[in-house]
Amino acid sequence: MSDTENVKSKLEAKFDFLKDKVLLQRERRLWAEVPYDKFMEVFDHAVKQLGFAFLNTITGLDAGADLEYIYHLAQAEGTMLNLKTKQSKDKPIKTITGYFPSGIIYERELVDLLGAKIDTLPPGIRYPLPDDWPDNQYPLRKDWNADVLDKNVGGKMEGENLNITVGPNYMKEPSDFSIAHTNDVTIPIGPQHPALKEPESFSVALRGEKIAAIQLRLGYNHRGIEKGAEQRSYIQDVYLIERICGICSHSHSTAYVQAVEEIAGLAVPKRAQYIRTIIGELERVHSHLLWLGVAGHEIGFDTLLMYSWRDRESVMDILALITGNRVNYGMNLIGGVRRDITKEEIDQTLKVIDKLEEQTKYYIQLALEEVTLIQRLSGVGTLTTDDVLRLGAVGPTARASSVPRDVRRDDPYAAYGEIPFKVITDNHNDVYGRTIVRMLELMEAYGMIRFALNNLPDGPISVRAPRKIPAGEAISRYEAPRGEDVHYVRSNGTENPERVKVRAPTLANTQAVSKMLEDRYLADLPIVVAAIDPCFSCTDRSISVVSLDNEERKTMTWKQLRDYSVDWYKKQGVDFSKMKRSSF
Amino acid sequence: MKVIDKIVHWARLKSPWILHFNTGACNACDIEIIAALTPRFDIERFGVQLKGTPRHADILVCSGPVTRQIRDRLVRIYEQMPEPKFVVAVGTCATSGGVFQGLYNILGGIDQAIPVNAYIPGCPASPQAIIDGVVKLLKKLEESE
Repeated sequence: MSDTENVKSKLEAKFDFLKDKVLLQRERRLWAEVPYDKFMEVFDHAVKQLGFAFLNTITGLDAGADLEYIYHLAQAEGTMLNLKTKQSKDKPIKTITGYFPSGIIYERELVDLLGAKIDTLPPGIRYPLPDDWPDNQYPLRKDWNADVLDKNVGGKMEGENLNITVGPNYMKEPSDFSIAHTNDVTIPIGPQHPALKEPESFSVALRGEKIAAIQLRLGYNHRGIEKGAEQRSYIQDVYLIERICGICSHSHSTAYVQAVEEIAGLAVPKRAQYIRTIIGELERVHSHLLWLGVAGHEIGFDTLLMYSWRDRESVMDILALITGNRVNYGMNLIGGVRRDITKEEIDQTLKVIDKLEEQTKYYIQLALEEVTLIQRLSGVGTLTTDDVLRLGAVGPTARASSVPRDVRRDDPYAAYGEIPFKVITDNHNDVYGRTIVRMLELMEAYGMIRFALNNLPDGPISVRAPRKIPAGEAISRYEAPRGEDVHYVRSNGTENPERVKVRAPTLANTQAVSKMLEDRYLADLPIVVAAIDPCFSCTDRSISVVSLDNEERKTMTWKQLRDYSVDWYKKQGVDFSKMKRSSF
Repeated sequence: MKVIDKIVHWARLKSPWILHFNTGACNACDIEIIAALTPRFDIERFGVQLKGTPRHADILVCSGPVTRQIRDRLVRIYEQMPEPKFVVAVGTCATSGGVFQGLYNILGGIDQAIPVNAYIPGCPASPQAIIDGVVKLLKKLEESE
């Protein structure tokens, strides 16, 4: 009996009402529908007794009078248990943040997009909709129409808000100052900031040079792709979903088409699966080289940026050669791939891979021997193994803390089951470890590309896919360069999907960033954020607030700040209040 | 035209400083903009330098459709730039909304929020296209003297 069947029988034996109700869709995929009054019991059992210690995501659906929730849980061995439950729209569900702190972001998403009511969800910044989004408008509800939105809805900033926050002791007499509190200042970073390549906004509370608390506002990149996918056909969605992210475009489109193919029961030809794998690994190579450059840039090592991006161009050439475009390859079709790889392309690719391998060896040597690099990166952004497991980090971030989480091995898709490779892990637990993991993964990727090109099976590259996909649902996992990417698709028998849910790897990793930055220097922020290789366009879709004691906080406007300084100096015997601004 | 103005004009054409801002793009155009600055394409040979703050920038290079959350921030960044200022919209999304047209949280192209001087289409716009667009804008500035 396989692991999956084992879990199924255990579940059915434990809960009477689940007898013959646990659906084994295929190896490593279990589905079960549980009435809400029994849900927490089953959930608790699955998490604590059956080893489902990783929450992939929570999908919410509008099911008429009810909201349907699907909790996607995974075991380290790769088995996924998808627990479904329904609750009426006006009744609350319990938060699962007690089990998974990382679940908070998925729950916020349910609140914002579907109007779910969640019991005891800690307060915090909304996610992912704009600040001035009208109340009671939930875009993912089926009866919602974008026409209700005024053209002017959109992230209004409050007047001259400086967002400088000070602790209560700040207002006391100078003799009462405690050092810790006088320096307690909140600095806004972003949405536009030289260290950030994408719009996201950090509010960093500082105590001296150290970060006491951090709050992350995401959603600047939220476009509404999930809703858009429901309004377009399956084929159009391939191209829309590819544009969730321009760096891991192939990851998203592959994850999506795999889910659709599973529902439609299409057998994708071997050759197509190999080609998908090759493009996927080439994408990883370009993404990791890109990351190396960005990381170099963040620590002021611009030479590294220029070097690695120069080498990256040769991968881009190969991608352009094989697919026809440098980015957003448009390679996937439902049922296969669009273009075949010719003999000449294989030869050319192999040549470039050889060259890149030489260059990568140089980078690995650099990472292992260059003192400046080691000193700057070691001990920065520490995340222990326990933290990874608790916060649900994925990808190289997890693997650099000795957690061998890799979907390619745990839950193989495309041709990964047939291609030999090692899952790279490291025990440094810091940014340095993440660098090593990525560099060594490059070497693995070269090996995989070579193997796949040399063992490319013959045959067709696609099968014909129906325009209408039969009713059903599937969840597809993909190891993107940044970590696990999850797509859930439900079809209703028409040309358009009923629901497409995307959980990008960065969303899983953002939770870990707060932890990594706790009590670290402000100057480490850029490199620590860069070290998870964030991709907020994927993610957008706020994050938990690390609370800073129970101090009273206030936000000052420019005018208040000026008045405050005038008052403060008055107490010192200097009167600035009569001074005009221009005379400064 | 005073001599000093001539010098300023000359300097502006020879070293246009750019600020890159992602207004909700998928990252593809952003990466291509950075790629244009790196050795293969090396847009720095035209004196173009990437700057970190709008107060130093002559040209605002935007990518992506304008999302609702970013709109006011974009306007504020534009207002912080010193005159004269120019805006380049990179990519199909930045010109028209592209594939994202009709999604509830986007407003369309960059021109829905701020005036645009040059549009560079492409999904994503290739580095060559970005260089071409910037050079065309510079030529136009030269003529507008």
